[in-house]
Amino acid sequence: MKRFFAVALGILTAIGGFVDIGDLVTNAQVGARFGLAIAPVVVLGVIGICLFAEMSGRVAAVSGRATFDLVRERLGPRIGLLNLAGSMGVTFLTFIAEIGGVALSLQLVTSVHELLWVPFVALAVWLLLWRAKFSAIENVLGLLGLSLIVFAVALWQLGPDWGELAHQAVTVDKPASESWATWCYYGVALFGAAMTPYEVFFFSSGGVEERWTAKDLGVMRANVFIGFPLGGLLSLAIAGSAAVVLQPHGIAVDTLGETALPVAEALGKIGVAIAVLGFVAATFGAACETGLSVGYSFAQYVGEQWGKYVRPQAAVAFHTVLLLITLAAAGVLLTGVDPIVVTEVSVVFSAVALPLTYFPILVIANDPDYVGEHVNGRLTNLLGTVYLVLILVAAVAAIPLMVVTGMGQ
Amino acid sequence: MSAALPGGRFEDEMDLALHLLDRQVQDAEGALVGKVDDVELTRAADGALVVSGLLLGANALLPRLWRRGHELWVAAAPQRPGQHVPDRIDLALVERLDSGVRLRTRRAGSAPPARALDPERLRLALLLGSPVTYEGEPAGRVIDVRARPEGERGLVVRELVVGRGGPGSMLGYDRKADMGPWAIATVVRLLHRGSWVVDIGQCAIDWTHGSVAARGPRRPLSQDRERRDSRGPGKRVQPGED
Repeated sequence: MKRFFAVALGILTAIGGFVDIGDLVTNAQVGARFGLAIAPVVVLGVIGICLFAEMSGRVAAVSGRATFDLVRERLGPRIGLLNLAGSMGVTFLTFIAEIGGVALSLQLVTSVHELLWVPFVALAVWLLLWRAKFSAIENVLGLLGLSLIVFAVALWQLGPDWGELAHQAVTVDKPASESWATWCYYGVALFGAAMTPYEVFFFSSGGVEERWTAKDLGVMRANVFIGFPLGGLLSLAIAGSAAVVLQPHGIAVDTLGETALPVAEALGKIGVAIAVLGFVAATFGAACETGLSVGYSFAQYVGEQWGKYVRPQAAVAFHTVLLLITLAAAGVLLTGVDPIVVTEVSVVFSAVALPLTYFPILVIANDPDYVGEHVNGRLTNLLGTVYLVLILVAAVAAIPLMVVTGMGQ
Repeated sequence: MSAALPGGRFEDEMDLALHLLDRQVQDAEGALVGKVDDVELTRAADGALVVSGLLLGANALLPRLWRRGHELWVAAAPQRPGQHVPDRIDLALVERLDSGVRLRTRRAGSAPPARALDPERLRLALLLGSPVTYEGEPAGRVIDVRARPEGERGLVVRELVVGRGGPGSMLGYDRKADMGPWAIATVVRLLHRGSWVVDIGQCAIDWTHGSVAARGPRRPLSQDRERRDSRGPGKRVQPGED
């Protein structure tokens, strides 16, 4: 029974933890502009993140090595360093976006301007990273993040023409007002939002923190294969409700408040309250995860002690990085930059940085020196190769598309 | 197995760049110590190179990342005799090697500075990536270094793997015939189709300039793959578990 609860808890936190500021904003934007026409990309991204997370979780469980250990071991210190700079940069960008997202959510509740919230949010994030137990961060915020299910309820309450939505999703078409370039740009953004690299850094490093072994593979797979797809359904519900409420009126999503509009229309104040609670929990949780991921990546590259399983005094470099990036993120946000723009940039650059870590993980998940008998099967390798190509195409196309479409204008 | 040698991977032939370099070092209680930033080789009386210790820290890593940068770092404080000296963990302190290196001791004090001047102690990183000539003709670079456990002598360097690309760029695909995914394995093997293996006894190594002159018989790397079946490092032992 205890084991059942552990599995259930893992799945629930994986659902809540899947959605972050990138998913909230991108899905709502895309839903409002394209309906569900780009929805297949979300499905593609969710399958990709399952594949990627399962491989790195398996390597972490069997060999005890987290992502950036492997990057450096397999690619050497030079390419590893470029890789570290790219991945840390993107994760830091996401970290800024998440902290900004928390501030924006609090602004929705309090009407106090987000810039005033930023220092307090940054302080709270840092205190959690410094003091709180790893499992507490993951479980409490993950479970609260589940309140985003209100988007699925809202979509159901709105009673849309399900056949029409399904038709949009299946036919891969676009509204006449949009060009295929913007379709592709938002496709890459959705892909990046679903397959954000930090999710994998956090997942595998968390596995090492919690001392997974080969015995935990079943639980790990349950988290990945049930939790992430359900998280993906939440993403689709956000896109779907935006498609039903916002698209007919031509409302574009430029603020977090507009993301919550469909919930307001369907469920009123109570719904909005629950949605905003979900926003705060999801972005706060993701802020902790991205912050930790930056520290994990750095410490794993240089071999310093990392992790929440030791006292901060025993992992000095790791906690110094956490402190510095929290200060830096608050500093960037206090310049007045729009967190939504940071979010849009971060999901696109996530797609750019993805091959850097995906490739070494794919190789090592095949290496019996690390995973023994648990090497990739034929199906995983077939999918893994297809996704390697997809990820490379998305990475190469991302920046040109961003330039050509003027960030989706 | 000799009592002098650590367990795990060390009990079998290994590629030093692939299996040892850049691995995580953990102490007896599982605390993280650092990475294997370089490997110390000691020249034995008969000229053979024996793996004698692990080198850690910025003074081991920086020369591999950016040699000029390290020279500037040393020049910044020429009065310090130890400015260029990495930290060193003696191989006798290593308990086993699997996906990482595990020490017999706790980390505190386990890595004193290496001896500053010792002409018989060499760094693996000087050898890796060195240009190689074969019978006088340029023939690629050292991409890996193979060592075998030989009883009381310890882990002795026996062969050099030479080919195009950087150290470790075979990504492990030379060690096992059926390692997937097929597409990556094919591309890596295609890029390394001209790589070859030569006995270190047939090589004259210039340590000052970092170059290798090889001659005599050599064999294609692809032959090795077919005859070898890697046994892997065996079961992982969580620190404090066994």
